[in-house]
Amino acid sequence: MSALFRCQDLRVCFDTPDGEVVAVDSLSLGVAAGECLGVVGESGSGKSQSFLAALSLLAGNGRVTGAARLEGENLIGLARRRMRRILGAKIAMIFQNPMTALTPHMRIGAQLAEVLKVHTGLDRRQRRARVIAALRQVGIPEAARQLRAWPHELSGGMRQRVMIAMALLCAPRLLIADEPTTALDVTVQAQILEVLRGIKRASDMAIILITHDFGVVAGLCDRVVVLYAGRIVERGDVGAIFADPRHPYSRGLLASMPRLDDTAGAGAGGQAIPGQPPDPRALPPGCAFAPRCADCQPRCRRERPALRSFGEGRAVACHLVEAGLSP
Amino acid sequence: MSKALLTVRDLAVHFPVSRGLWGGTAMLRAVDGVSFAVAAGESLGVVGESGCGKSTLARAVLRLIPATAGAVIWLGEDLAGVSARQMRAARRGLQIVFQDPLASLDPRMTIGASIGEPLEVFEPGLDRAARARRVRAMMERVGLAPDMINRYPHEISGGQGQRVGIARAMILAPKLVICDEAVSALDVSIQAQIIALLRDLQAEFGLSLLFISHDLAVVRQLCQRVMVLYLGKVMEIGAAGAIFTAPRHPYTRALLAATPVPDPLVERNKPLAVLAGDPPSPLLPPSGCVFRTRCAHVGPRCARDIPDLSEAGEGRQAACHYWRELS
Repeated sequence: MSALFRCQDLRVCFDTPDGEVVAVDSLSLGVAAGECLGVVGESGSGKSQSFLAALSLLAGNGRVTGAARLEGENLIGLARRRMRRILGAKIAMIFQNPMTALTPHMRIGAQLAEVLKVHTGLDRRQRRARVIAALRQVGIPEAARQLRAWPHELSGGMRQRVMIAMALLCAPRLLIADEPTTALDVTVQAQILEVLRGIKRASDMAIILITHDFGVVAGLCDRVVVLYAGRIVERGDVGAIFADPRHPYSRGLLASMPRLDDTAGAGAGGQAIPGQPPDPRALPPGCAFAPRCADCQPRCRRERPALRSFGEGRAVACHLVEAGLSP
Repeated sequence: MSKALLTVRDLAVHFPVSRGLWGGTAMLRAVDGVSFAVAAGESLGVVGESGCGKSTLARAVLRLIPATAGAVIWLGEDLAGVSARQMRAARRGLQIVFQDPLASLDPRMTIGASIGEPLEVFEPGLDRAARARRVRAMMERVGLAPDMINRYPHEISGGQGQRVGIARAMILAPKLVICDEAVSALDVSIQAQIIALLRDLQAEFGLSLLFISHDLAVVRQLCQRVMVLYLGKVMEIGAAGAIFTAPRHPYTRALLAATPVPDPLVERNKPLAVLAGDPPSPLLPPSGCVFRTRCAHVGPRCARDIPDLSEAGEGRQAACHYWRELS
């Protein structure tokens, strides 16, 4: 697979009063054109920070090492001016809360047209036509009339559509969607996921979908990366990960998801993983999941397992799987 | 219905909303004519999207906000008419757990003090040592380590905070606990732990739950009966098995169809039934059936007549003129 975007050994740390905190470590992944990669993890797993770091959007106390290449060009340490040419044009990002990502004092039309003003040489009429086309593409009714709307006049679902329209304006190569439906009601979430599926069908844009929800991954993604405590614990094709999760954390996470089609009804399903994720300020020396793992061996507490490839795009970071001891 | 612990009859909560300088006031019908009963040991799930009135309903049942009309009958007594002192006595058996445990705890009180506070209020005769014993026993029961008794809310995680919230609600051995999105803010693996805890407590103490949630998959795991709300009105109510496997109301169907299932085989093969649009403003609810503006099966009666809840088989009632034609 020739990757459009590839992270290599990405490491993100923050200077805090309690010392250095490593949020992401040894993160390597790639996504090809036309592909949708799901990045799954719980709070604090580093799923958002990895990509904020790759796009130079980290908080002031954050530092990043490693490489993040878009079409071969390393984005880490890139000059600010060059980065500004790339963000919005070649890579676009959408966030969980569209209200904080939109400028409250600019009408929707002006806000979207500004992106084109920065990145293209289109004149005013062409910009307007392109903005209307993008709003239509994400299913906003009466797009021409909505140009005059203020962000606060729109519902949460409409705002997220506007954000996606803004992301699509310059036809980027890569769309990074960070929990794009988490704040939305389930019927509106279904609408937004359908918009993303439509983009996937109609273009060869690569999509990275950052989420905590395996249900959202199931409907949209081709491949999945599971993160725990800042590291990849498993990756593979979506079908393989769901049908046969190998890492004890992936297995636990899938088993703890409540399922609507669980016909056993009340009193069934939802196997919890005991304990809680480790404090990133005090990660255990061995496998970060060892304290919660039912099959933990002495080696797991001593030695951090490396991510080992098992062919067909599948890789797992677990001593037990490596030794063939795990189901 | 087998002897009801709590019976709510035609409950309405209307808020006057100012419409600007010359607009006068409008009535926001947050809860509008809701009736249901909860039997001893039963768990009733209340589902619906934001703005459907589920949290307002919880607060009105506890009289944390005044009801506009209707009756809340707790153990045979209408709480609308009782004095403040009687209401306080009723609250002993009627507790609530909120969504954000860390926001609902006093930051200056230790975990132990917070859990023991209801005992100070309701069992003032209890001496310090006896109270501490009860607190420790309850902490153990909900899975909190004994050394957490002297910690403060900011020192604990969200999952532990929710255990504190549950311990505080359970310490008076209530008959009914209202859970208002009690697991919504938690990570999936922690959420499964709290669901398992609630289920165990329910079995052990014969506890009744009024479980309010936007997540149908969670409700499916925990509740024997379900009530579906939309714009302050009951759309469908009845046995969970019937509602989840053969929903009668078009809104219930849409909600179920929109909820993602963590399985790519199911998720990619399910019929696309995306509900269009957003819920209408509760200030200007549609005439007739409030769901008709988003319903795919609108008939001539829908704009004219408000549908009553009527028997729709298998121990459930639906408020739709045309449910027979749909099934």
